[in-house]
Amino acid sequence: MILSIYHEIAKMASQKKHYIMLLGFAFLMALMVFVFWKFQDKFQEAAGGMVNGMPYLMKMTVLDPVKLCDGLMFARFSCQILFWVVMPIFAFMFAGESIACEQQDGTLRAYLSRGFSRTQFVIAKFIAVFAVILFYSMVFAALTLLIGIVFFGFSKMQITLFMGVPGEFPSAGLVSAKKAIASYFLATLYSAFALSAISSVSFLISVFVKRMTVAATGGLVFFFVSFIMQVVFSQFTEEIRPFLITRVMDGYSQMFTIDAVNWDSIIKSFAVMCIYWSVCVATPVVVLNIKEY
Amino acid sequence: MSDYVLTVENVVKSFGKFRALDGASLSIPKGCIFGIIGPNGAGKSTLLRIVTSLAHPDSGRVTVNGINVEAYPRKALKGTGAIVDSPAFYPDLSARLNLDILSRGTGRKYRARRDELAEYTGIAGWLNHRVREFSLGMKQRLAITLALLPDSEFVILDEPTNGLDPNGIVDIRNLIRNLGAELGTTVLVTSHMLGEIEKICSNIAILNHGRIAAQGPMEEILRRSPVTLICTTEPDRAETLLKETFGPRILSVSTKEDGVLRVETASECAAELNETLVKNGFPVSMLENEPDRLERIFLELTRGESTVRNEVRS
Repeated sequence: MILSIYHEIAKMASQKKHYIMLLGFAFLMALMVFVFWKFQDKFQEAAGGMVNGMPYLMKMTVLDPVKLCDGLMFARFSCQILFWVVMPIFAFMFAGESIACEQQDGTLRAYLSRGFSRTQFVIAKFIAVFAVILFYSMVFAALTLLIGIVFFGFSKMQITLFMGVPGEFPSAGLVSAKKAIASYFLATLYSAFALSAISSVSFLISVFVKRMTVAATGGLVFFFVSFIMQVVFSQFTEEIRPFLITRVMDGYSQMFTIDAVNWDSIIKSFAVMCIYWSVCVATPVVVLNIKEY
Repeated sequence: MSDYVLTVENVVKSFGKFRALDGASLSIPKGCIFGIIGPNGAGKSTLLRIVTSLAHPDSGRVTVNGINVEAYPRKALKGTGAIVDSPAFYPDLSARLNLDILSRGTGRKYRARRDELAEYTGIAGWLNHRVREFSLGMKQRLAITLALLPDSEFVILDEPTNGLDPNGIVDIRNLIRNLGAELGTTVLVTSHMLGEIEKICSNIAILNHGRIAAQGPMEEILRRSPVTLICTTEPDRAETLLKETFGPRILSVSTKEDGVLRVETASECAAELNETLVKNGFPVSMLENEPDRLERIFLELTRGESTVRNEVRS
């Protein structure tokens, strides 16, 4: 199995879409630095009065308000967009390509014609997709933090508030930078798991189609439909909301609240992830073992 | 232990109403180079797919080295390397990594054999190059190397000379021939190029309409109603003489437009024909077996049916 996973990672590492991914990340970072720079100015201007309708935020701290917008704050802010928008697209691409492209190129037939285990093939692929997502999540999180520190410095104390669940802001507080960084990387780790669950939809589709674009687009559509169901039609989807794939990503936002993590919700999110993993891996295993090539 | 590497027994495979294989049976002895020929839609690819466990037969049995492929695919195909359809590789990976991934080979012994085989097939200098840079001929060589890895004793090659230039065809032909002679590998090869099959294979099977129309050693197949071309004076009289002398052993005699006698006999008797003509005062300036004998036998066995079949499919 380890050899299979290594081979799958080697295949994925050879793809050219890594350059696109890095380019996308670089573009996002440039944009975020610009936006945060502007945000920092506005933050300072408003420091004496209201800040996003929360004047208590400034009153409760003795810190220089500018210092609140430091590198870690920048990283937390940027990663929200990175993990909600950019990374899902790449995760869908990697997962969608995994089996579909092999079918299209004929390499799947070459591999299976030797009687190798098809179950092992699917599981190795899925683990490889997760490994790549985890790798990029961690690397991008670290790079984002580094860029933030280079451009905006670093405070010894961090404010807990900023990235709570929309509409569910916890009360603001201060934590040590050490704890804030630990929380930041824990949230990143969680996001890698969540992205793996999200991308499993594309993985599932990829066993039925021969084109990566179809599988990736299928996953994206599922993601956006889930998002719309959760946000726009939330009042009509109360029963299914816990099972929506976008709901899983909420856990990521919750992790950023640092000292007010709702562990019960996180565990529920992992349970939902397990459902997605099970269905989206078991189905390709069954299909691949039955299907003729 | 079975004397046959591959046995196919009454295999039936249908796709909807179309019956691709209709009770096909064949046996491939160890150490031979076995060719399967057949018209388009005869069921060659379907047969190979079933042999390599890519498809499941509706009924019948396929065994490799005595092990049922359907029941134990991994065990049965352990010493089998197959290239079904055109060779497919990961274009952005090196040839070396392609071989490692697709053969799942690992360890020092494997690496030594991989490098040795790469040397043998002539791609040793290209192992670190990406497959994207390979020509079709190089890909075929890589495919053959892959089929031989990690330690295959039975190699299946589907149309290995497809799309190659004449030099490439000769190279691949020699390579396949040597696999049997030097490495003792049993090779199953399919091709539309009958001349190639005739030159490469020691045994053949002619597949038509999903059934094996004929199979056996090449010489035996070619010995079926051999045709001798004879160039002599007075071909009309010579024709009469041969008919009278050989009687039912001669299936047909005709004189071609260029005056060459075309004699189809029930068995090989070119020497006797020559002797009879010379003894009776007919100087023989040329006597040879008709070329493309396999093509003629192939057409005799498959003529008509493939046309009907194609019509049915469309």
